[in-house]
Amino acid sequence: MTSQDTPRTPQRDSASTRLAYVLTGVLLVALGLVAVMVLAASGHTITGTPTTTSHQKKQVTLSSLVESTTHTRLDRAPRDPNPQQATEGWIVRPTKVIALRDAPGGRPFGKVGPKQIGETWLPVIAQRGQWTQVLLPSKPNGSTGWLRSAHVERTQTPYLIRVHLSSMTLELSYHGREMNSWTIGIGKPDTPTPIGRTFILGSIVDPNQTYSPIILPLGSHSETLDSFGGGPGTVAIHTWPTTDVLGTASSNGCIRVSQEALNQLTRVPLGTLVLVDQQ
Amino acid sequence: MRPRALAGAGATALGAVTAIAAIVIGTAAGAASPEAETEYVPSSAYGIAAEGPVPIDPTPHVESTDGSRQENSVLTVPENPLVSLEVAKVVADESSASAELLNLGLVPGAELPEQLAALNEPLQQLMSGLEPACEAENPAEPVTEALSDVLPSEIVEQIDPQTLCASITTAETPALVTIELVKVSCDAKSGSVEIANVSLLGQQVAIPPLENETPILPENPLVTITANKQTTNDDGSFTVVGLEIDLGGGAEVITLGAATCGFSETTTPPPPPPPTPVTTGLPVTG
Repeated sequence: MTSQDTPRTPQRDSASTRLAYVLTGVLLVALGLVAVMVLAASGHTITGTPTTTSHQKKQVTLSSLVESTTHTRLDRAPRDPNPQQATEGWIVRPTKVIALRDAPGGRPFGKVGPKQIGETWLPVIAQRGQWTQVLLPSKPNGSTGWLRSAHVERTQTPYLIRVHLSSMTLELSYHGREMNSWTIGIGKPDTPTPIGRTFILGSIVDPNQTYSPIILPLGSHSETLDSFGGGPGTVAIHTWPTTDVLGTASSNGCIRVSQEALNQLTRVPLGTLVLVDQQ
Repeated sequence: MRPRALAGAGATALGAVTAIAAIVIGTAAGAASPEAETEYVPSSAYGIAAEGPVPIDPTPHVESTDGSRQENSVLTVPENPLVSLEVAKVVADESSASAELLNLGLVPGAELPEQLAALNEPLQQLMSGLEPACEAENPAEPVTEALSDVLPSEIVEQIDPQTLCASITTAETPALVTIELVKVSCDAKSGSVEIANVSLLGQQVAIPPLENETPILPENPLVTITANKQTTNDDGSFTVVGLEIDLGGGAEVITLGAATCGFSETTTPPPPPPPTPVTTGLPVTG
């Protein structure tokens, strides 16, 4: 009996096994079809990899990535596609250290955190799905990066600063209306103020400088001075001890303004766009 | 072992597929736009509604809750003894709404339904007063007298007793009131009502200018009609009602043509405060 029963059991097992085999196969084919359909429909989002792998990779990558600050250079950062385009004033702040990618869901080339000089606030220049493109404070000028929108807080600055190099004027707009315009001093011909789209990176009191009570470093750098005075050549807005520099091209790249202008400009939120043009 | 291995492989594949699906779904669902948030106070409109023993749900009804334009229309209303109409069209969008009713008949059989039997008495009184008046040799005076009990003199003056008598003695009694057009429209701040060609028991009567909350009929036990009733609601929306017909002191209230105009508010987060300067050494280009 036992000997008869013994082979029968495997036979039954084998039948149910075959059934399970077939069912699993059907399920797999069905799931595979669904996956193909979903992935095909989602077009460019087919960069997804299983969560665990991506998570492990991210942890490894983040620690080895260079942080975007005024002191660093990230050559793989995509360039600003519209360097003279005003925005709606949206600015974002990373809520933690997060990767900067070269495209929505693209390759990480750097990272950025919630603090650098003070709080990190970066202007938004584009939005695609769950990705936000921002201007960066690192070299080269016009660097941008894509951030995962879920990892930033966002708000809107009502201000916009326009700097016209030919007329040596700086305009401050509020909600799209020009509030004020001042004559400024700009970079000398051999150390010009870089043109393009940048932003107010910080507001500092530098105990080592006496020319301005408050200095507003921008996200841009001198194109001709790779370093200056021990710093990375960061362009800034600040006052100058004498007013004769206003209306002249006499600085090493910085934008020199009157005390009255600085008083208003220091009220402008970090991350506010600064558009520098040749007009 | 083989089946177990296969099952294991199946589970892994299933996990991978689920993970990929989760990533794809996450991409779609997690999409965030840096746009300001817009809150909508809805706009809505309806053709007719009634509350009381003979209830009528708002018909046709539209509501725009997201600023999009919504339209609806009907060629008839649910069968009821109170109101008949031929066309009702309603539209609502972000901040405007309208309702248009064509060829309305109120109490089409000139006889109130059982549920409103209490109101039948004054109506029957009017009718029973009119019948002998119409049979009089010279009906003008008694008919005018009978009508004066329930209608304002300026309307009574417009009614030709002979035509009225002819209409009520025919086999088919005309509707108590017929209205060719009721058009109600509003935007966020104001509303307007247009009422054209009103007939009372088959005879056209002129309607007084439709100021806000115009009572069309004087106080009487049978019916109160208020035109162009305008109210601002708690949520800030604005409602205009074409005609509100109150039968028997609130026993049955019929609303004809109502438009509620909402609005949208775009809220942006407050701008960040001026930055607090940080004391630090950062040589800039000067």
